[in-house]
Amino acid sequence: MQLVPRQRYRLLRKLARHRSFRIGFIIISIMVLAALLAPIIAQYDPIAMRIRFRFRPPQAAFPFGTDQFGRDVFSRVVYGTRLSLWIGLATALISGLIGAFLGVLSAQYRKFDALLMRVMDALMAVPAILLAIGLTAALGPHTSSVIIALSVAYIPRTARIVRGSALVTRELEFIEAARVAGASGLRIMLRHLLPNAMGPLLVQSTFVFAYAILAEAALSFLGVGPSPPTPSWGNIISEGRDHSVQAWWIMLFPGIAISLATLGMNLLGDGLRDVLDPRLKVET
Amino acid sequence: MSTNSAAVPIAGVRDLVKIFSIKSDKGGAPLQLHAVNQVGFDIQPAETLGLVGESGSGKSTIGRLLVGLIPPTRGHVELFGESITGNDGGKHLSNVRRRLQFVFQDPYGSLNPRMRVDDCIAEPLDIAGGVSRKERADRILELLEIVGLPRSCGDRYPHEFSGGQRQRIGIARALALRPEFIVCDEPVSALDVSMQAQIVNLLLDLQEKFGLSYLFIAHDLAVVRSIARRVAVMYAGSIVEQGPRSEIYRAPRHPYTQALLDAVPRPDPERQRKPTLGGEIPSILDPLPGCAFAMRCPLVTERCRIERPMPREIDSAHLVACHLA
Amino acid sequence: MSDLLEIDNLTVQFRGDSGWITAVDDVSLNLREGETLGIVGESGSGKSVTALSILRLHAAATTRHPTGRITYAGRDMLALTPRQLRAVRGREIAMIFQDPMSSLNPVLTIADQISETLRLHQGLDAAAARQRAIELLDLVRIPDARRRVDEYPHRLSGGMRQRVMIAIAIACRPRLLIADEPTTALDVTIQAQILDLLRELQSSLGMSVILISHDMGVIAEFAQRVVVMYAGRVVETAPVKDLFRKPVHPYTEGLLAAIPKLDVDVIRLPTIRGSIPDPAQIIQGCRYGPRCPVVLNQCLVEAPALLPAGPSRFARCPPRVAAP
Repeated sequence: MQLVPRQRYRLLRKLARHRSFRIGFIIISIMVLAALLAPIIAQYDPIAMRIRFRFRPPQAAFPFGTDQFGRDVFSRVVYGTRLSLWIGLATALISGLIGAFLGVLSAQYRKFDALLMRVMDALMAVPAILLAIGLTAALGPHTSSVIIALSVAYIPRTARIVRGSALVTRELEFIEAARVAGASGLRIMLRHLLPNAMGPLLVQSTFVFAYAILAEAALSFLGVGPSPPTPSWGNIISEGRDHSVQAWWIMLFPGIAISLATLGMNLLGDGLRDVLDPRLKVET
Repeated sequence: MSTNSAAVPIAGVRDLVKIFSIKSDKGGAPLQLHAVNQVGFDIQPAETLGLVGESGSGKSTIGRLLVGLIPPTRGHVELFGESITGNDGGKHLSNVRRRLQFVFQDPYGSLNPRMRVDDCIAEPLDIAGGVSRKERADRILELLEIVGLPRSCGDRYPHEFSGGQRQRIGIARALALRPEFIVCDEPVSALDVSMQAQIVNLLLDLQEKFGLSYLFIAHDLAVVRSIARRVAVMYAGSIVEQGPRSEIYRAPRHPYTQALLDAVPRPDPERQRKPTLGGEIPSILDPLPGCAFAMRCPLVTERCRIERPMPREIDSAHLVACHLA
Repeated sequence: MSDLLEIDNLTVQFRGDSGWITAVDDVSLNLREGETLGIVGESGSGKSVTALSILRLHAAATTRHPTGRITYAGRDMLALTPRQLRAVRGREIAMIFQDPMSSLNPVLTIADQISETLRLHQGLDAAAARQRAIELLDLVRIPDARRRVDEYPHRLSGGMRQRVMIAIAIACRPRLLIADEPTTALDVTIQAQILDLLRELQSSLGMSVILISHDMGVIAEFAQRVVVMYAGRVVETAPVKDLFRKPVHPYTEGLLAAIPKLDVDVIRLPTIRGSIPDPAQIIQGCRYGPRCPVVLNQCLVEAPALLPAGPSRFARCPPRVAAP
């Protein structure tokens, strides 16, 4: 009996061929490397002040210039990658996990759905960034409170997406097959609905990752982000704000980093969506 | 109803009624969809009952009612001698769950695309519980062999298989708990002809080997003839005729059975078909008082429009619901 | 009788996950004026792709421009400009499909959909087009056409929708009607009605018809000449009576044997071993070789040619054709 040729690595091969996924992957990989190897890449301590060197424009010794305390902006941006990526990753993970759970739960249990979705609608009525500002203001300017606030803000969107996918899956025959086999509601949720929502969930999570990096910058700019001196892209910009006319480089380079990271994650997400969404698949 | 009243039937169905309430697209009171209308039949051990009908005849609803996927509106269903429609119906259903399985029509939709084949096959085992890792692995290999798939299939995903192979996987899954009774809902109608025959033969082999009983639901009369010894013909929610295969196919008594058999195109260019049956399958939204087939019946009389014909035994184990039979 | 349509060495390829997939491989067939040709095959046989190629209805992004030649009434179909092609589509060559629901636009009334073709190709005004739409519905035996013409497709049964599709198809009195599995989604008694209707219309309008089906019964009942396809290739072509009386190609033979029989009791159906090959799979020699019960060594090496196998018959099986 002959079988269709093995297709185990089909998705990976398709991703590798997808142009925007490739570009996104390269950008994000470089950033992750920068975060991991920050002590090697950065020549200077990102926190220690050297007033003597303040406001140096970009030059060979300080490629991104220095700030008002004489700290090397390049070193700060490289170290800032750690905090910014961490906030993006943690927010994507937490909102992804909780959102996915709530999504399949409300797809499976219709009564819970009616209640939960009203709550989610109410949360979604408030713009995510406003919600996050309110929450971080209440929780205090810590990294963890930024992550919690952003996760809460993005959970409703993720839950909606997972719920939508699970509602479609629920009507498929294999769910009926599982019920005939006596499967419990929990099993149907975890073994059937959730795995089949992984595609949209993954795509949504890359977008949340990108939004979170952006939102962190906005929160820092408004003074409710992770507090200095630990650098994040957002608080580097925030600190450079008062000197933007004389030292434009303090805001420009972390700004570029934020744009690149957001772009990279969005490209990754686009690639995943194209490859994972069967509706966009090329018919053969 | 059965010829052998001594044996306890695998499945006994009496006066089964299923009415679906659906929202009207114009608003107002919900519409009542009479999907199954006073149906009765028995299935004996190691027997196959073929249930044929066109779309909207209610044949698939009966399969789902039988395995408890949907509750009946009225009527009685007994499985292995226990009522699953009485007060303790739910408890009895879970008692007999292991002995009863279902094979689905769509070999693409009935397997979870994110589950490996071995997990698909073993799911009923996993749900039932109490199986060691070793027993589970052995059983999977055994099942693959029984349905004629290579042992190496387990770690692949359903999309790597053709329609016929997927239907084998679905059958292996149904066999996992060693059931006695399998409801097959159009198991070959999504398959190509050259695959159909393989699956029909597999089902016949399994029946012989394990003494299985089948309720074989299909719209294809020829497929049913090749597998079922007894056949029930449904029209608009009711069984209009049931009896031994030899009589249903050679000497059909209900005008609908006759028209249906005649309408099937044969692979014989020289055959002359009788004039085609006109009209369409009636709406089951609000059934008329008389015979559902009256509108299309070439032999219709006044009585047919007023009084609903009930099944009558016109020959040993051959029932026809027609005033004229 | 002359040939209305001639397909020579048609090859159609689609973009697959890894390279090009050949869906139709070196297919040649012809259709005479007024003839009914049946194309029969299982999934992946290329029967529908062949038919779609006649009107170049494939998605351009995923299909290579077909190679070979398709000549319709003296015109080279593969060389037509998009504008010329649109003039042929719907007017000279019409097509009906398997699924009458998705072929009709759910937000337009029946009258709108039939009128569209009439106004486009025949330049009728709104009132005349509506009148003609009612006549067409009468012609395809839709009861109460005057009322039905203003309904939306979802109000109609599957059989009625297919009648509407047929009405649209014959609106411009095409010379060729391509029917791709027109009755597959329908119930048996409705299928019989639609086949009757098609037969009637064919003789009253003098159309040629290409009927594509997986159902040997439908083919036997409807076609005059049959093309059997397997895995992208034509394996046999013959007048319908000859084909069913004495199939030449082992695939045709196996397929006919494997059909469940309605008129006799069969203990066990004969089967064809193995399964239908995946279109991406490359098979040396005869495509049917791995499944063929009478396969010879030579079959697995060299791709067999389509050879004459009797009066107006051809088969792609040299061992069978050579040995009487």
